[in-house]
Amino acid sequence: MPPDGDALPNPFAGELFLTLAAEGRLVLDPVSADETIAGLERTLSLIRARLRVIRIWEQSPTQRVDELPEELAQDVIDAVFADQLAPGKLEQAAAELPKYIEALRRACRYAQPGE
Amino acid sequence: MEQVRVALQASDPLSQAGLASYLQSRPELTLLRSADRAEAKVLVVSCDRLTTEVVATLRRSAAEVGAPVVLITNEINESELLTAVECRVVAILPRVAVTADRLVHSVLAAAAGGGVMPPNLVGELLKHIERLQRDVLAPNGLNASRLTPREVDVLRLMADGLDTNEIAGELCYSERTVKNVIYGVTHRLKLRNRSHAVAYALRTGMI
Repeated sequence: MPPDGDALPNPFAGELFLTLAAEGRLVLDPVSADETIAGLERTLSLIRARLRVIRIWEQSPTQRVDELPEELAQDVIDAVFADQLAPGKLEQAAAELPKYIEALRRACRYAQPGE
Repeated sequence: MEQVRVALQASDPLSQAGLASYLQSRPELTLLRSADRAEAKVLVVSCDRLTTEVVATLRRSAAEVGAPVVLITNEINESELLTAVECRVVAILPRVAVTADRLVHSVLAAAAGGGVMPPNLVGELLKHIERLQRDVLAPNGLNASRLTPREVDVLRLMADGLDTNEIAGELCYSERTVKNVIYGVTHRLKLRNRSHAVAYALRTGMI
C-alpha cells in the first residue's frame, strides 16, 4: 500500500462498514473495537463542537477574530479555516462517523463467544 | 480432505497460465473451468491495476458467486482497497511477491474464513478510520504542530503589523534571530515573502 492520504472524492465509507459488519465479514476483538470507538467518539465530539462554533460565527454580525476573547479566537480559527479548506467535510463527517461507530459495535459483537 | 474449488481470472494469458500452474500443482485445490466459476469456493483475480473494468467484474462475481476473492495486483491505494473489500476481497497479494506457496496459503485461508476478513485487512480498514479522523480535524495535514512556538510568536506579531525591529524588542530577541526565524518559516513552507507567511498561517489556523 502506498502512504495514506490519497485525495478521495468521497473519503467516507460508513455504509460499507455497516454492510461488512451486518454480513459478519468484519469481525473485531473487543479491545481493538473499544479503542477505535473511543477515538471516533472523541473525534465526533470535536466535530460537533466545531460545527457549533461555525454556526455561531456565521451568525455573528461583525465576524472579526480580534473582537473575540483570546481563548475563543483559536477555536474559531481552527473551526472556520478547517471548514474553508475542506468545505462540507465536517457536516459529512458528523453524518458518517456514527455509522462507523455502529459498525464497529456490531463487528465486536460477532467476536464475542456465545453469540 | 475436501478439495477447495477455485476459479481463476487473470488480465493476461501469461498470468492466467502461470497462476493456473501454481493452483493445479496442489492436491488441496481444484481449479475450475471458466464455465464452472459459479461453483467456486474461492476466486483468484489477477490484474495490473484495479481498473473500472476489473471492479465491474469483481462486483458481478460478488453478486453472482459470492465467494471470497484473493486479489493479485500491483500497488493499491486506500480508495481501491475499500472498493476491493466491498467486492469480497479478503486477501491482496502484490504481483511481484506471488509464489505458489503464498497463493495457496491465501486461497486456503480464504476458504476457511468463509469471507471473514483476516486481521491484516481489518488492520488496513482501521488505518483508514485513523486517517479519516486526522484529515477531518486537520485538512491537508495542516496544523500548528508544523511551527515551533518561536515561529508562532513571530508570525503573530507580524500579523499584528510589527516590523522586525519591533518584534525583536517585543520578544527580547536580536533582529538577526527574528530574520532567521522568518527566513526559516518562509523557506520551509515554500512561501514567497512575509505577507504570504502571515496569510498562510492565518488561513490554515496556525496562528
